[in-house]
Amino acid sequence: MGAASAHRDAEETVPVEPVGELPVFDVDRLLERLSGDAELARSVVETFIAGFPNMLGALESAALRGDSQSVRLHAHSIKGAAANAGARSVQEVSFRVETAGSQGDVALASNLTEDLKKQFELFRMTAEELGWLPYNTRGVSA
Amino acid sequence: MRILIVEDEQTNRMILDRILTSYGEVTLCEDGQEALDAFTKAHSDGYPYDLVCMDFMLPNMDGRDTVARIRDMESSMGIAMPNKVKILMITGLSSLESEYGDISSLSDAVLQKPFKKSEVEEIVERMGFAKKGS
Repeated sequence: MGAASAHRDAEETVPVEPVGELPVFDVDRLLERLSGDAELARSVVETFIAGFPNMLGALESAALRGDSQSVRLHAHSIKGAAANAGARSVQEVSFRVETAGSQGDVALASNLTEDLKKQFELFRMTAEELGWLPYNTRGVSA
Repeated sequence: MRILIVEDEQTNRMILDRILTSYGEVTLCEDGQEALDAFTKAHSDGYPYDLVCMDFMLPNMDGRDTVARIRDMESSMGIAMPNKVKILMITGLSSLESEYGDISSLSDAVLQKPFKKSEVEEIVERMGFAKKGS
């Protein structure tokens, strides 16, 4: 078993479906995790969206430095935040970036980061369309 | 009851804060050094923490090293079981031992991320804590 598959096995909660088949915004899972606390769920989504640009910036800076361990750490943080917010496709792509970082493959992590931005923008637009955001929030340029 | 939450990721910090505020007074820290400072100050003030919720993957000093430092500080202060602070280790990695070695001797319980509100409550109550007013 290779390092990547071993790592995947260790992550019980990471979805295995292709990104395109995952829900962009899994509201049911979000509310289920928080025992139906809609107010907290809304705060988590807003916080994730507001905090994503900083987390992405830290990830991109680490990739530019060629610092694979920092890439792993920042991707891990994004993955956790995305999971909390019900952003399933962002969670999956950030897991792939984390795996690339743990394998020392910064070039792959950088390429995947472009997809991460796209998935985040999809999530932000979906949350906005569904009325989860109080106002128009600025997106991240893909 | 006093609770110290050490978590660098903002949404986890927010969720834990919201859940654990029902149990006691919460202090939030973003890294290991900040946690050690808060832990030391709480003892100096004579009002130590009862529970530390520690994220495993932290920048600079990871959760395992921070907990080890907390245990060393307790030993130097002459604090022994059962008066040591309870440690809840929080992690997105389920196979900690395979990658980082045994942490069971350092923590009282482990919470897997992403976690459910009900799981946090269940673990905290199994550790012997109850919600305020109950």
